[in-house]
Amino acid sequence: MSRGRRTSLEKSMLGIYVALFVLFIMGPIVLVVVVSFTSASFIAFPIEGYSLRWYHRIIEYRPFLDSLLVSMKLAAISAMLGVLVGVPGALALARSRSRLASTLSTFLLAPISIPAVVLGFSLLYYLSALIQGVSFLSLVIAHTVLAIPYITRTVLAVYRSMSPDLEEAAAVLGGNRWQVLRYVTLPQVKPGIFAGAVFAILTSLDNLPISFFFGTATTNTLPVVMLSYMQNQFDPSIAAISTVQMMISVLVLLLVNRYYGIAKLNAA
Amino acid sequence: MTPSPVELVQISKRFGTAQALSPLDLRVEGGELLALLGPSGCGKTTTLRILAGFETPDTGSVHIGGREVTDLPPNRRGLGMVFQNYSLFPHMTVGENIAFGLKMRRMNRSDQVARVREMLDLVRLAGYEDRHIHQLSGGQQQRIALARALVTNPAVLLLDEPLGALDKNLREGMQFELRALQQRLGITSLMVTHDQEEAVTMSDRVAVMSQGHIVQIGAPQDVYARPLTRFVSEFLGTANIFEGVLGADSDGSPAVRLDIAPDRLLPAAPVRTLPRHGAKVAVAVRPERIRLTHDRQALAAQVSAVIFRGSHYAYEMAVRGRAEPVFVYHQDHTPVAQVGENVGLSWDAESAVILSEAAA
Amino acid sequence: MMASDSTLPAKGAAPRAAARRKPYVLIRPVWALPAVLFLAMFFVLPLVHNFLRGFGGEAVGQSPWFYYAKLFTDIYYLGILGETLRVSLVVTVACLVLGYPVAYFMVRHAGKWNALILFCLITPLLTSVIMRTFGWQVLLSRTGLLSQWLLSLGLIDRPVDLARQPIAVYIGLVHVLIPFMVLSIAAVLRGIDERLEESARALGATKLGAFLRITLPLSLDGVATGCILVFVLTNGSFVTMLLLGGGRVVTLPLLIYQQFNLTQDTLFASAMGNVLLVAALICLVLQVRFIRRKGVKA
Repeated sequence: MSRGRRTSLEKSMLGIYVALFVLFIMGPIVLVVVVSFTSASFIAFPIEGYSLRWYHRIIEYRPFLDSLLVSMKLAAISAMLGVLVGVPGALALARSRSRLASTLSTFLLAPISIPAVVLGFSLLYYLSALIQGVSFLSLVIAHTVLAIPYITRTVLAVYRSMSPDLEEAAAVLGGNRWQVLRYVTLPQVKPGIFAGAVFAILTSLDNLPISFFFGTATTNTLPVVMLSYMQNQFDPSIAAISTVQMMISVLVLLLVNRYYGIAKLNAA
Repeated sequence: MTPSPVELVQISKRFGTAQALSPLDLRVEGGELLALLGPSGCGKTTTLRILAGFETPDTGSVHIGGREVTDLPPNRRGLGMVFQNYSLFPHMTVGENIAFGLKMRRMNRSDQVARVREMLDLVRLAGYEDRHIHQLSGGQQQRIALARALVTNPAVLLLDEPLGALDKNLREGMQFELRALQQRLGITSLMVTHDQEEAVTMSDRVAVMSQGHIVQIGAPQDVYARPLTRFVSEFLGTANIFEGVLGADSDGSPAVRLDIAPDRLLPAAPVRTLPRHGAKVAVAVRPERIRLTHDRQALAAQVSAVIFRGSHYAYEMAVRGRAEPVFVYHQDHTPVAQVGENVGLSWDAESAVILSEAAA
Repeated sequence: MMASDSTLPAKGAAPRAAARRKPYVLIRPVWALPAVLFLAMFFVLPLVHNFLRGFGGEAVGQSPWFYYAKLFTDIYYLGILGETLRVSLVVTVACLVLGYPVAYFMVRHAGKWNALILFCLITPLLTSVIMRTFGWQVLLSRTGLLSQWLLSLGLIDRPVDLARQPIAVYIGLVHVLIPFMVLSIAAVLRGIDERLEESARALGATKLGAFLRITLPLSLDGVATGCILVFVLTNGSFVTMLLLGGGRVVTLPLLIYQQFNLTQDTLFASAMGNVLLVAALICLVLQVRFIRRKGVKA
């Protein structure tokens, strides 16, 4: 059959296209990492020498380091709150077939479908009316609103794919509700919880449209600080701090995957 | 331990607009294995789940060992259950799976270990404590599931299509093993299955269900040889159903004039009450009870197919006036008739069951 | 031998109706309450609050519809609405056209390369939008890599600043959003049996014809999901427009950002936000309708 030859022509052409595509996607990212190591005082090509001076700059320029810590704290806390509130919700709604349950599920997933700018802006005025002034608490609330859908989504998917027989078996064997949850449900659902939490953490670290509205001198997140820096200066310190942020995200992903096997999930 | 009887009194259940169980009464005697047999949708699984406590009945009550448990959750009913796909906890070892019930009862660790070892010996898988579930074959998983269900000495054992996931060869062996274990322990058991061979092999009594009702209940031999309705006769084994009119032969015993052979009287017997003389009846005859003769008074037929089935020969007989063939089974290694041969079909009264008018 | 009776003698008790019998449920629905309440308080109410603020024209002595009127009648603002729509549509179409082949390759041909491509699609999501946009700045600006390359190759004689051209915004947006399109389409393509296309070819269709008539229509669900997703995300983007394009591409989110930052006309910003919100809600409804068709619910 000539199918073999024709398929491989199609395959090689597509292959070349995809290779270019990969270059397109990874190019700018790799470029930034490379630029972060330049020894020059500004961004220019070709790169003459390499040094770590811009990484030192991160430590020197206090707002970078402070905001990085704020971002990390914020991501962790909002993810935890998201889990506390979202996991019971997802478990309660996952297997119910009532109209109310599916409406509520959609409702819990809704925040990520709304333009974050609108949500951030709205939350600012609403929270200001509620709590005097903006603060870290407002940031936490806002990021938790975004964390809940990510966690709900993955937990819903994992719990639905789990057979209810397991929990029934545990019940017949004498397990009351808490015991069944503790010994059977939660261990099975754990990868879903952590996958969702990782999504929540990663998007929280990167979030600009919401965090932007809650900036004060002490509670700025890293993306906000980076943005204002970039509007005034165009130097490789942005490259350095971006690379650090990327490394942290990669580390979080790798660690959670190693311990909780989330790569096995096909959560979109 | 004295075996506990189980009683379901006037249990009914409705799902939305569908009546899954019409008010139903069922008693399982202490120590017996009763099989609920029927096609999907007949209500057998719902009945089991109501007994287990996963469904609540709309009406009626559930009693185990004389104690009413209708309002108790599944974990307080003292049951053991083997699920269709075993439902072994994948994140635990074999030992942890079996010990689960003991752990829920807060038995101390060393007692747990001893008891787990006992159970593994019982199912002939000694030494498997530390294996992981995915390392086990289907048959082994089944036995672990059984061990896990029995470890707490439950009053009643529930079996939900326990052998459905095994392949055929394994299934037969497991049928005997499971039954032997149940009898040895003397544990009251309720089994749900759609496989009539399984029901007949393993149970003390079988209850045939259809559309939320128990149509017939009794020892497998009884239900098989003396089905009450068309449905039972066709669900349990193969049956040839004939329509006719009830009459009597020369010495007054019941006989039937079949519609397709009104000139003859063929023997028949009722399961319970005899309908009145002249009534229209349906008669069920098992293929293995039909004899081939050259008697002129027998039903005339012509052999249309001879099929070798391994343990027996199946013959398809064409009978004039009847569209579907009459099946005859004969156990032998060589066929007793050839295609095209004209034969006479006869049977004794005990083999032809007059079915009740009550629905198929 | 007598056949057994098929019914038990009644015990003298009539069927007892289970008046208050609660079904056995492992996780009671009430556990969803914390999540629902939290979102009601901090998601729904703020948006409702904002919705009402958008009708606050009376605060400046005008009708409640004042800000919306301004938005929809003033040429400048109409232009921005149009620009928002245009950017979203162009980016969506670009992502679709450029991304579909990648998804197709991933599912049909990649084999062992699949993991690598997946890695390349996921990695950008681990980097911040700012990092990626910065990367395009570095690449496309006057002192950037592209400029230097073209100069050294002799193709141009003066450095060119693409970063300040509108095209940079589109490139930046496509760069950020195309992984979503590829993943959406790939997810659906995976479920389409290759043999369907092969049967069409066996019946005489050309390779392209088989693709257009069989595979493409079956993948429309993934295409629709991806398009809606990219459309909504583009609608909400403003970082890219802020850093690239020299301020020449102004869309609604950027305007809101500017209103907030510069003019402090927050009621107007609320109205703009509502327009964005309505657009997103329409897309959400469309999305739910599509996904229900696929029967994604377990």
